[in-house]
Amino acid sequence: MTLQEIEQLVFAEIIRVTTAKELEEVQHTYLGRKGHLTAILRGLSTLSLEEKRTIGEQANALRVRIETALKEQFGKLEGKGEEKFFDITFPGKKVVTGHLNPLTLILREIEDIFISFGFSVVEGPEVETEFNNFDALNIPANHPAREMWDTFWLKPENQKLLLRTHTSPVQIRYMMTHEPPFRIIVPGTTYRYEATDARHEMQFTQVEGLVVGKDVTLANFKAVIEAFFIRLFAQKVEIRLRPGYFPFVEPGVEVDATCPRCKKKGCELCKFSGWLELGGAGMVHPNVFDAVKYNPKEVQGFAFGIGAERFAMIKYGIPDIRLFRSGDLRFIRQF
Amino acid sequence: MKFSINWLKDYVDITLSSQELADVVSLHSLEVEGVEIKGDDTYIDVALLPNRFPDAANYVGFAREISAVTGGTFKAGSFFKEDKKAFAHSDFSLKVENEEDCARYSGLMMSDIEVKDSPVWLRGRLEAHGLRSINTIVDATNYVMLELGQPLHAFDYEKLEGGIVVRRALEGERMTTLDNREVELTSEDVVIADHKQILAIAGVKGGRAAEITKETTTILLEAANFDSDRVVRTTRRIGFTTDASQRFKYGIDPNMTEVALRRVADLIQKLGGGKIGSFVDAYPKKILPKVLAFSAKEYEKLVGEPLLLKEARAIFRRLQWGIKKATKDILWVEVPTWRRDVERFEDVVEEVVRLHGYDTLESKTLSRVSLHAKRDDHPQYVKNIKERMVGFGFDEIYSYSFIPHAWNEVCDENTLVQLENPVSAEYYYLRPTLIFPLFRALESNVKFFSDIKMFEVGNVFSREKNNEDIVERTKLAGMLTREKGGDHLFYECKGTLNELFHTLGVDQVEYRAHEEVWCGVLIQSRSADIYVSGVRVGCLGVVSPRWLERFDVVHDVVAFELDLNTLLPLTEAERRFVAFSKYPEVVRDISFVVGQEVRISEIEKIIGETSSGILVAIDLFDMFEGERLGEGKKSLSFHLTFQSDQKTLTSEEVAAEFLKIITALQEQCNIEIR
Repeated sequence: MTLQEIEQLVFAEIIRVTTAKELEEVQHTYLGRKGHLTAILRGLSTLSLEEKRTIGEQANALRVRIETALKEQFGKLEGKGEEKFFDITFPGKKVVTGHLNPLTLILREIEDIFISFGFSVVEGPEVETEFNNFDALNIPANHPAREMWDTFWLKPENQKLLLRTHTSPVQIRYMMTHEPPFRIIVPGTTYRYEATDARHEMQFTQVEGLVVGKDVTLANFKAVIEAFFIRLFAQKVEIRLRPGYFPFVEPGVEVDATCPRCKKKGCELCKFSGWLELGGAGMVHPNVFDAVKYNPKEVQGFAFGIGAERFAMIKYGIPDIRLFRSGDLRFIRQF
Repeated sequence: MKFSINWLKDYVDITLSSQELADVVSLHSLEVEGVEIKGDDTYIDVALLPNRFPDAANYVGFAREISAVTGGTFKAGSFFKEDKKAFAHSDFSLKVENEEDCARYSGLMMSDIEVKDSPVWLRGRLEAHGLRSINTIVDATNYVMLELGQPLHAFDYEKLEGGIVVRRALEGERMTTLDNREVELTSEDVVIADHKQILAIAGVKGGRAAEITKETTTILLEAANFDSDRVVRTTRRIGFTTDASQRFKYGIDPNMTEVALRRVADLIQKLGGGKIGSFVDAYPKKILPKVLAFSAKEYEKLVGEPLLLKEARAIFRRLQWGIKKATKDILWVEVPTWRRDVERFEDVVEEVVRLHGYDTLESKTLSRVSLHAKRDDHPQYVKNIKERMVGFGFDEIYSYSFIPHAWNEVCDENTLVQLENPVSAEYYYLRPTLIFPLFRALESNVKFFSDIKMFEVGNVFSREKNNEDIVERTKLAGMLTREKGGDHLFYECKGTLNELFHTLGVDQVEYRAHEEVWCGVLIQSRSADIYVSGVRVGCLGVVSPRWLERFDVVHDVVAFELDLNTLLPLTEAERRFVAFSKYPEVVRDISFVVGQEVRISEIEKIIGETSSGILVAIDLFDMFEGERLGEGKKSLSFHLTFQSDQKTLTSEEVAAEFLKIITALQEQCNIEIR
C-alpha cells in the first residue's frame, strides 16, 4: 500500500469504529509490527538519500497524525462497547459527618469577628459569688435594681452562691488579674429564673464585651458595634443608640439595628418597626473600677452584652429559643 | 407605667402626635413599650427602670421629662414654688422614734371639710390607673400620689388620740387594714400610731382606726418618707404590696412631702372646700440639691465627641437644673433633689448626651492595634475537639444544666448541688455529669432516628462529701446507639476516642477496668476507665439494660465522658516531625488460636517486649470466635510490620524475629498457629 492509499483509508476507518477493540485492530493494521505504515517506514533504508528524506518526512508526519487521531478516538470510546452500563445519576455514597449545634455556629462567628477586631476570647465559671455577679457590678443587695435579674440561688443560702445571670462577672475576674489596656469578649452560659416560652429561656448564652484603656470612648463603642453588625449580617445595617439603664455602666444605652430581614421596611421579625433591639451597653461605671481596684481617674472603657441565641434565631430563621437545648436531632442535623 | 396623654397635657404642652411623642421619648429618655388608643384618649406605656422610677413614675415627673425632651412648656412649675406664706405650726404632738426608719414625716391639718363623692373627671382618672373611687378626700390623696409619686394618707383628726408616733410595732401587735385584712406585725415593721393604737403600716396601708367617713370634718394629711428596705421587707412578711409600697421601694425625694401636701390641700379645697390649718414636720436631715462640676473637656474625653459649654447650658435649662457657678471650662450644676439617680459626673454626662442626641455621635475606630488577641487556651481546645467530633460523625447537642429531683434515688444526695429556688421538680439539682441529660436527648431522638451519635461539651457541678465547696468542671460526653449495635458500638466509640486523643497529641492511652462512678449506669464488665499518661481522664462503656428501661430505649447504647480540665494539660498543641526510615518495610501476617480470656493488651505486650526494635507496628485485623474453633477459644490475626532505619532487612532477620515472637506467645499464652 502506498502512503496516499494509507492516508485515504486510515482516517475514515478510525472514525467508523464503535468499540475500543475495533480501534485497536485499526491501529494494529496500520501501525502494528506488520502494519502498512510500518512496512513503509522499514523500507526507507532501501531508498535513495533523496527519497529517504522526502518519503521519510511524509511517512513520519502521517504516523504522527494517525497516532493523534487514534488517541482522540480511544478517549471517546473509553468504557464503551462490551462494558457494563454506568449510571452517573445513581446516588453518591453517603458520607456521614456530624453537625455542630447552630448555637456553636453563631458563637464561633461572633468570636471570629471580634478576634479580627483585636479582642481576646475569655471564659469563666457558671457558679458565681454574689460579689462578682452583683456587688462588684454596682448592684448592691436590697437595691431595687437587683430585681432586674431573676436569680437562681444555690443551697446553702449563707454561701451566697448563684448561677451567673450574665457573663459580666468574668469581666470582674479578668480585671482583678490583668492590667489595662485590653479588649475581651466573654461568651458563656447564663441563667435567669424565668418562665420559658418561644422567646425566653432559663438557660441561655450571652456574649459580653469589655474594652478598657486610657482613652476609650463611647464613640469607639459605636464604631465597634456598627462594624460587628455589618459583618455578622453581611449587609449594611444602621445602628441606633438610645438611653438605657444598667447599674454597671453610665451612660447606659440600648443598641438597635435596622432589621436585616426586611432592611428597615418593616416585617414580622421587627414588629413592623424596621428596627431590632439587639443589646445593651455603656461606659463602665466608676464604682466597678473601684471594685476591681483600678483608678477611675486613669482608665475608662465600655462594656456591652448581646444574646447569642437571639442572633442565631435572626440569622437562621429559628422560631423557638427552646430548640437550642432540646437535643432534637431533627433540628441540629439541618445545620 | 401607662400615662394618659390627655392628663399629661395638664402639665406639659404636647404638640406631637402620640406616635411621634413615643419615638422621641424612646430616643432621648425612656423606652416606650407601646401606644394604645382608648376612647378619646391615648395611653403611652413607658418602661420605668429603678433609676428613673422616683422622679418619672408620676405624671408631673414624666411631664417634666417630656418638656426636657421636646421643649414643650412645662406647666406644673407652680407646684414647686416655695410658698412664702409659711404654714402655721402647731403643738400637735409628732414623734419619730427612729430617723433611719423615717427620714421625714410631714402632716397638714385641714378643717371645715366636706366629704363627698368625687366628680366624674377625678373618678375616671383614678379608675384608669386601677384605683377605686372612695370619696373626695381619699381620692385626692390617691390623685396627688399619681401626680407627684408621693404617697399620701388622710386620717380623721377627731379620731386621733394624742399625737402621732412613728415607731416599730410590738412583736405580735395586730391591726386591721382599710380593706379589712387582719395583719400581725413584728418589731421589724414600722407603723404610724397614735397614743392608743396603730393607725397604719408605714409606707404600705392605712388602718380602720382613723378612717375617713362621710361625717369627717377635720383631717390630718400625712406625707412621709419611709426607708425603702424596711417597707419592702414588711410587704414580704405580710404578703402583699400596695401602690404606696411600690413607690417607697424605689425611693422618694423627701422634699416632695411638702410639695404634695400643698398640692393635695389645694385640690381638696377645689373639690369641696376646707380650711388649711397647722403643719407638723419632722425632717432632721434636710436633703439639699447636689452641686456637680460639668467640664466639656471631660465630657469629650468620655463620650468621644466635642461639646460647647453653651450647648450644655441649653440642655441644663431644658432639664430645669440651675447653674450655680460658671467658669470658661466648667459649669457647676445644681441637681434638683427629685433626681436621686444623678450622683456624680458620669450621671450628668448621660443627661447631656441623651438630650444632645446619640444620633449625632460619630463612630470613631479604636486607635490602638491589639497584637495579643486570641482565644484563651481552654476555648481554643474545646473548639478543636468539637470540630473533630463532628468530623467523626457526632452531632452536637446542648442540654439543660438541671436534672430532675428523682435522680437523688441513684446519686448520693450529699454530692448533688441543690437550688434554693428550682423552677420545678424536673429541674431540681445541677447535673453532676452530662450523661444524665444525654439520656433525655436519647429518649426523644430514638423516636425519629435509629442511628444516633451525639456529643456535648458542657459544665457539671458537684460537691465533695463533707466539703462545702462546689466543684465545677468541663466535660465532653457522648452517647451512641444503633440497631444491632452490639459490641461493635463499644469498639467503634473506642476507636473514635483513640483518634481524638491522637489529634490532641496525647500518647499513652490506656483502658483499665472501670470503677463505678455513675451509679451503675454502665455495665461494669463492659466498661473501661480511660487513663492518659497515667492519669484518669474519663470512662467509656455499654449502658446497662436497667437504665435503658427507664428511658424506653431498646437498642444497645454506649456512653463516654471525659474530663477536659484534666485532659487539657496532658495534650500537645503541636506535632514534631519524626524521621521515617528510607528502607523498605516487611509485613508478615500471623494467625493463631488462643483462649478467649487472653486480653489483646497482654498479647501486644508480649509481642512488643519480645521484639528487638525492628518491629514497628502491630495491627490486629481479624478476630473471630466460633464452634469450629472449640469452646472458649478465639482466633486472632495480626499484621506485623518490620523495618530498620539502618538498612534493608534480610528475610533471615525477619524470619528470626518472627520465630522469637511465636515462641514467646506459645510459651506465655499457649497459642496454636493456624
